[in-house]
Amino acid sequence: MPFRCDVEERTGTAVLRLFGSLDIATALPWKPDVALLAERFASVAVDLAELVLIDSSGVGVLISLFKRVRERGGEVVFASVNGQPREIFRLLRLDRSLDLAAGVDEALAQLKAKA
Amino acid sequence: MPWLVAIEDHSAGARYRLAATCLIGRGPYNHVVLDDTRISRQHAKISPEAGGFVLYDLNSANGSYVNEATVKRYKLEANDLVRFGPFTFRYETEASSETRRSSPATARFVEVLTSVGIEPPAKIVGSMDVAQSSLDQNPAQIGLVELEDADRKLRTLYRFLQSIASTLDTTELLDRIVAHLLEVFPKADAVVIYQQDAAGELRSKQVKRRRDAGSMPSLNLPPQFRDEVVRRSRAILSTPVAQSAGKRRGSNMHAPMVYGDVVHGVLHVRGPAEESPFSQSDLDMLSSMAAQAAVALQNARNHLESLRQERLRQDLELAQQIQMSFLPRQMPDAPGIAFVAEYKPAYSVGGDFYDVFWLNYDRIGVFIGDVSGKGVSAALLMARISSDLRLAATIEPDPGRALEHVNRIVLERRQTEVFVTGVYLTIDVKTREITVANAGHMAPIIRKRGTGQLVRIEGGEGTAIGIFDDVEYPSQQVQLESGDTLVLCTDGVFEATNLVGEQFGAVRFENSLAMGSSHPGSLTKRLLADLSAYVGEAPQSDDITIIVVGVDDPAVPRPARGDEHTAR
Repeated sequence: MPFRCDVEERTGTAVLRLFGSLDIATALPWKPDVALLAERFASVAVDLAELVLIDSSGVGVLISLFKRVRERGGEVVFASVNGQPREIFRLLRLDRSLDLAAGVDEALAQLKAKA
Repeated sequence: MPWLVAIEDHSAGARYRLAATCLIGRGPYNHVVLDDTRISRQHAKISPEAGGFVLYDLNSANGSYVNEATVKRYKLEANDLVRFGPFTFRYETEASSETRRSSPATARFVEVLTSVGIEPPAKIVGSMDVAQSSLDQNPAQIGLVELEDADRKLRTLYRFLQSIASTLDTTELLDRIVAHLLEVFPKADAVVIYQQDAAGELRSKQVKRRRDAGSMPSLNLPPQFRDEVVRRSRAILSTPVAQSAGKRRGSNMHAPMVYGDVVHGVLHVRGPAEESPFSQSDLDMLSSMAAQAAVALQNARNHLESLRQERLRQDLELAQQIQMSFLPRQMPDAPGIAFVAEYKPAYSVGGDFYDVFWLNYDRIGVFIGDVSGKGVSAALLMARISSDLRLAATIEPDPGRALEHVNRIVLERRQTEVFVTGVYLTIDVKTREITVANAGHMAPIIRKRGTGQLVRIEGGEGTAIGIFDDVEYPSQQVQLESGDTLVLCTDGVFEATNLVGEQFGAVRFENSLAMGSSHPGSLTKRLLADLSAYVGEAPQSDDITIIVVGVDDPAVPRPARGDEHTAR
């Protein structure tokens, strides 16, 4: 299944909408984009509503985004983590350590509150 | 038309047609060049006079002879033997040479066409049938013109192929190609091989010039040739039409080296300035050589590719050996406790890892883990983390503190997309109490004695290693009873997928654990058998690791030891 990421900028915050399957095949080509995004934005909301599948390589890239933004003093919130991605987040205990939000609006509100 | 026919060994059979004045001597400007120190630079001349030909000796040092008599001026007659130093010729008239016409192919050397007013006079090279020589050819046109006979051409090609087929080194290959081209085209003053650089530009890769050659050939293939030679794959012979001042003239040959759809470059043979030495026949020859060269270059490329793959395979094998060397070769031999470990990487190397080791006299450490990613990089990282863990385990007796220690080390390496899930637990061999810490990994399962009930050890959990620097892993204590079986595995077991894309899943996994014998060896074998029956022919996509720990039930007899230790 192909993967796509749409980027939208809302007053200094990047909203990334992920579609399809983020796995070992699609995660690698996305890595350079993630590095660029992490450099440009101090505030990132990642919308997983349309993400059907994620594997450990996919989680690795999201973690990389999270770590890079945090290193520069920024914040990342993950929105609409449901279905299979939710299971993976739970298994890795990421649900406890990452900031999760029910939807993009809630994520933006969380980011605003932190700023 | 009369002829001068060489009859001594030096060039027996060479025939020189006498049409106009013919100069004979050692100097290169003579019509007939006789390369010997006994010949003067300008030795003699034969001129048409009074309906025949007259030989003049031009004050040569060693004289000119006709029928072994010194002559200064002599009117030649049919079948006279003319000698200059060691070279003897017979003067043949039309009538006397008629007899030789019956076997013209025996003539090995070509005539000199001594038309009046042609400068510079030609030198003799190559060989062709006398009958095929014609006056309409440019007298200066030499080189491969004389290589008309297919046999000679084939032999030249064969020698070329032999030479270039004996090497698979591309640099050496290019070197041999240019050297051969200069040899085959004696009139060329430079040969160039153009090949595509990284930007797709055709640049000169190999150049060979004769010592007396003019300017360096251009570094890039001129664009006007690109379309014709490369895109349309045609060999071309070109002569500049208009000359701008100061620019060199002269003819050029370009031929593409094409194999299948791959253009391996362009061969360029350059003629000397002010000359047009190449013919269509030369171009045919160059085309054939270019085709041969393309085959050789393709072979070299294939060879390089197979070398590269062989090296990759060796790297993988080495990584596998390194990884295997980090896995425990032998399970600890503790009274009443049995360990079985099974490890099946999806590729030659994997990101899964396990370790079972003595911490001190009464405690054994058990670790199972999974690095994100797959292949060599994951395997090498896992190997590194295994030594980190061994070190942490000796410093920190508490499993939770040990995992926190490993987490810090991994974070310090700043590999942003890498993380590790794992369970680390210690077993007190006397009390059979286990202390468990879990970093984002599947919870260990205990199959209870007797009832076969499955219990998950849910406590002691924290985020996967390598993500946050402030993670705490609380340790959880659980008492094992006699007859209990502890099962640890990686998610490759759940996620094993069959041909229709369905996963083995938690339910099948738990059924396999709960049914049948609880002995570690039998339980592991059963689980693997169920897995392989379910997956069938589908390729394994993730590493699979299983560790089973059995605590003896004194009421049940122990199976033979060999059965228990199947770690590999």
